[in-house]
Amino acid sequence: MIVAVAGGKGGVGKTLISTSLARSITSVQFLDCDVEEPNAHIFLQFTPRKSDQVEIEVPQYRKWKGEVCQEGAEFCRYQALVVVNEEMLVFPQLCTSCGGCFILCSDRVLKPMAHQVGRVKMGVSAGGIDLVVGELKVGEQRTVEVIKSVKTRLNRSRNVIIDCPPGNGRPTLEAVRGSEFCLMVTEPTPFGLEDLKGNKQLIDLLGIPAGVVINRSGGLYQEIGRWSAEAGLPILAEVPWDLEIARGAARGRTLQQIDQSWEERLRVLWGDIERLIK
Amino acid sequence: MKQLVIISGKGGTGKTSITGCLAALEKTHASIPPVIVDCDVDAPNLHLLLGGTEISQEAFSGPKLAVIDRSKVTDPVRCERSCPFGAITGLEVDPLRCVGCAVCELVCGSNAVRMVDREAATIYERETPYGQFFHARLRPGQPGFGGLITALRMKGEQVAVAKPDSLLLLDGSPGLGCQVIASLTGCDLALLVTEPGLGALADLERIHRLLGFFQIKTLVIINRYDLDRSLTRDVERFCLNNAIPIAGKIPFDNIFSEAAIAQRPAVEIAGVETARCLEGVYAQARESLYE
Repeated sequence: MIVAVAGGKGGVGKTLISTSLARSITSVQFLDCDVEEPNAHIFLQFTPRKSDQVEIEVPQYRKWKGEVCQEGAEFCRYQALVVVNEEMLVFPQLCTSCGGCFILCSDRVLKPMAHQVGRVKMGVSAGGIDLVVGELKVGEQRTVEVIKSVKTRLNRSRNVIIDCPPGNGRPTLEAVRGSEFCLMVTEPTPFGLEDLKGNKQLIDLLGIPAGVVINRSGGLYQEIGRWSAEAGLPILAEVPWDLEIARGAARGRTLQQIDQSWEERLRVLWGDIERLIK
Repeated sequence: MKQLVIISGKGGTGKTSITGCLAALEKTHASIPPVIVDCDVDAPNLHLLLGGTEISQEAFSGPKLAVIDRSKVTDPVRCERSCPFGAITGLEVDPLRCVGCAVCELVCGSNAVRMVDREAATIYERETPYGQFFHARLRPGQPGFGGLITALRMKGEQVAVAKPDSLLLLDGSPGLGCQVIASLTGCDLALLVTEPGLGALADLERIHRLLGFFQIKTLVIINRYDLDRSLTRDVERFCLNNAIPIAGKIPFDNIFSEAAIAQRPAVEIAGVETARCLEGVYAQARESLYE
């Protein structure tokens, strides 16, 4: 089973829910695809055993040949390659590694060079969970490449849980893509609802079933439940607003570590997801 | 004109709530209202706090989309394989994979590929009780690009530069990718909103490293500081070791969710203690901007 945990808004508790869920079941592979701010390892205490660089191929200008390639610079849709004062400048942070410039320019002028955009760390956490963590290198912008690299490590023979980035753009799409179910975590505020609506649109593009978890529930705002019912999304769990949970989560403790009774509720949640996939 | 950006690394630390409060405080205390821009185009929320009325909206094109005319393709296999992003299957382009790089245009045969505009986002301009406000909404699943944020900021700057001593307030997005980078380049001051938590601290460390590349003056705000005073001390130690001044600490207060539900900046309805903390943050930010 492959389950993505998303929701749109940042800081609603995606990582708390996904890591808690991971600890409640067996044979788990956990993919941290929130590569700009990966925090799952804080909840899953792991020692990385292996770390691979994520690299893209970018052009390197061979200045000593004294030539430039105007066509290549004009072609680049991302302004990663420009001609200035009869020299070429490369901005590797902007390069999508499409390779168009290599088709247009002679290898006397440009040659491919590996450029690191992040890394993927792998290891086993305390509970026997296989953990794969993507990390965007600070200052780099190829978030999607790092996410794709994490996902090439996906092990279908396991129960796979994917912690997705906030937002409803291409990074989240790539993180969710290929999942059999999307668990949307939200909070009962107009902000939570607004971003949940965006998340629903994104998940609909992929055509996979989804359900909602309301974190920090209670209080007066009832719109999440109302909207979810209209949108045909089941509310699969509610985690109440509770000072002990807030404090525990801040210290990287999963729900069942904060309160053991969550163990059973999380297993029920996993069972519900399993049923909804079938 | 001064530009102030509010970012955090970690999501959900209170960027938008604090931006709303700063807008309200600037409106009250400064001679002219601020210009406000929501740079979180992926999951925008600030419009919910600021209210007001929409003045205009316009479509914004992002990276183009390849459209293949199969009758003109010279070598279908080569054409299909040309896409570095695997977006071409059976000579059909999957818009959810295409990033608009146009490599297929080079490979598939003359005039076989047209790169067409695709509406990536809508930009909105609003007149709000706190000042003129620009925000945008990226279509779900669209490739991220800094260009949209740069365009939004330019709209804000055009309004702000016309008024001397104006403040351009930018609400950032979580993370530290291209949209965050586009939000903070050229700003006079960055307010980093964090909270006591191991994840928040890890993200603070990463966003601080990013800000180092841009040489932007930085202040930290510790939100919900009283939820865990020991973790708050860890944040304070990090700031001290890295010479980042703390603009203020804000207590945990349910008023922030109540304000979001009431769709008003929290400072307008907060009790004395929280309001005083927010005013303190605002005063620190102004002092830092104009010193």
